[in-house]
Amino acid sequence: MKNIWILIVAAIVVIGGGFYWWQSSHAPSPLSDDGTSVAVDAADDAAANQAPATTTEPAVSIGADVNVSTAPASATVTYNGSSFSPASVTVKVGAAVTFTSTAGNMWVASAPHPAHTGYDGTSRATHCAAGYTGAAPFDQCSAGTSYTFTFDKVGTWPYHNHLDSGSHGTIVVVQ
Amino acid sequence: MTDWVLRTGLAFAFLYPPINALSDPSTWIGYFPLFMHGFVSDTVLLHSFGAVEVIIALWLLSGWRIFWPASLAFAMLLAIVAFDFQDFQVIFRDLSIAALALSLAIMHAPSRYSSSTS
Repeated sequence: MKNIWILIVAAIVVIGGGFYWWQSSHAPSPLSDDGTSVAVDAADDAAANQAPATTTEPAVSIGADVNVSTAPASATVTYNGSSFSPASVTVKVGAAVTFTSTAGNMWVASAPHPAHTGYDGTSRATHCAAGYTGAAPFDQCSAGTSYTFTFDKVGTWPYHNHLDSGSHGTIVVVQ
Repeated sequence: MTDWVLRTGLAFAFLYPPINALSDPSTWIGYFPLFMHGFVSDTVLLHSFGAVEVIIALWLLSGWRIFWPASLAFAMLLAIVAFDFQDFQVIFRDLSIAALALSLAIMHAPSRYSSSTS
């Protein structure tokens, strides 16, 4: 029975160690806090240069009644083979977000892995099937090095790399 | 009969992934932690791991020295949970299956490892 307890303790160590490893290897990048690594298309939205995407409050109150969003109308997220940077991006509704890999193929898709139902409720098997005629899914649907998706729904949309589900990020879409 | 049901249930958990990976490899390669990539192609990695899973499953079904495949299954399931923690909402049942594997290992533990044998 003593050996069984050793097995159980070893199991706890393995799970705890793995959790610690996951926590430390997926800590948010400092760049995502100030948004300086967000590439903003100035031609699309000049105002975006003054206030790139951040993970903080995306709007500025002017006077008592006007609330003007400063979130950019487009953004670029870079995948380096192990993580997305910035990990969180805030954009206006209707914004196009371009995901670019600098280290081989990726497959950007809405959470959760592997169903990808988070954005529009349809599963990968449905919205990636040939002949699918529904709304464009937040799913690259194949491996590649670049993918652009236009977000037309306000909300917080977690995503991941289907080829490495440990790599993930979040797109926050505001009015 | 109880032992057979337990072994068959555990074997199924190790047979389905490699079989499904033949038709949907991208889903399963996504579960491999980053440090396992790069040594060989993802396809080789996926199907090599799948071959190990099939061996464990067949060993479990064979009924021969079950302590060893059950212990291997227990360790693999714990490792999967540990290294795919971000997908815990999907893989939480692996802990339950790991408990099943541990139970089988205990039931079939050699006498020098445990006071009870089966």
